[in-house]
Amino acid sequence: MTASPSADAAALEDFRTVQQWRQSFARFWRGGEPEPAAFEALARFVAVNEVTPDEIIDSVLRSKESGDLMLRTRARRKWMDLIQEFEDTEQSRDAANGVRSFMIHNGVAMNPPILR
Amino acid sequence: MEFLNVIGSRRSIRYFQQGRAVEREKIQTILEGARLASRAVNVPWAKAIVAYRDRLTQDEIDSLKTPFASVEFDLAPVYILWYHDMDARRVAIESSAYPSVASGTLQDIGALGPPHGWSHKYVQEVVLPEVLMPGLSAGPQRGGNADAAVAMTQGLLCAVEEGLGACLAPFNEAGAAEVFGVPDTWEPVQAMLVGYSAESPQAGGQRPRADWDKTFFLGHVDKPYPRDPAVTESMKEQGLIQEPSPIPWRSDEVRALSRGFRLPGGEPVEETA
Repeated sequence: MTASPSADAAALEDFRTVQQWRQSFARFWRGGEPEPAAFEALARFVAVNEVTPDEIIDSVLRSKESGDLMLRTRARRKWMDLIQEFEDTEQSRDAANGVRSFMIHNGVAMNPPILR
Repeated sequence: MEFLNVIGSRRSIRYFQQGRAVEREKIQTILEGARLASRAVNVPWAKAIVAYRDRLTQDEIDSLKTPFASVEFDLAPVYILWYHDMDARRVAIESSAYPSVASGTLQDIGALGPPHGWSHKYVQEVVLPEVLMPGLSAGPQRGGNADAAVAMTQGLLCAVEEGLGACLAPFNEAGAAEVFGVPDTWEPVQAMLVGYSAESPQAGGQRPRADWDKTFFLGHVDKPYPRDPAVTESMKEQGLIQEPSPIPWRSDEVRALSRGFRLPGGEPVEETA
């Protein structure tokens, strides 16, 4: 059994992009959901950067007039760097991967450096 | 490995063993296989650059990535960047360096000759001015080239035969040009990422394909080519047709691989189903 998410992590539940994360995660892995620790990592990440989960994704995937989404590569790069900083600060690849998982399941492809 | 089994065993491998180098001779085998591929007028349309990841800086590696293929460049120890040489036809015509149709070599060796209506005079006075030379003045033209892809594919199958894993992926053209000094007359085809697979040989099973009846036709597009079940069965026995995806334990395999490489998705998950 894993612990329940903290209050801060629970506060993320209503965000559209967090719901998207849950749904996409369950679809790919045929059930299950991100670890409570991943929600908590996301909660710490958004607090550190003073931003909401929706604002992160919306800054990378902008809506065009046509309704299609456009990937903003500079914004993607910015968040990739901030997640790497978060990993370095927390000394935790798992915590950073929790945030990366949130990004990926919202349509923002990224990966950490490979540890060799 | 038997030929049909080579085709059947090919998968797009996206996880590679680290610390296990690819033998030089295996890379050469891939290139030798590509070199002998069929090509129009015997012109070497395909060009390839071999690069070893560990000899590149991280910035150089990153410059090859696209939003569609990123982590693969970090995991694969060898890249073979395949190109279509848009200037190959002009060089073949203007230079005698290549044994192409334009130089008359294919007539000299008996590959093309009078039984098919070909002679040196026909090549020099008809094929060259009416087929090969028109359009050259417009300069190199982008738009892909089937023969370059055929060469790459032949190399890909050689990689499988050599026991390697490989995956074709797009790469950043400008980044590659900067790192490898690629001339602007070379148009990217794909990067072949090569190494020893960290995945199981099934790698999730053979990928689903579009319906046979909507793909192959006999005599008219309204008439699907008949698929004989006995032949299909024989192809299974010979390893061309293998266990299809999804394989039940693939999720577990992907999770374990991700955990091993410390990639997102490798975190433990409580199963609900």
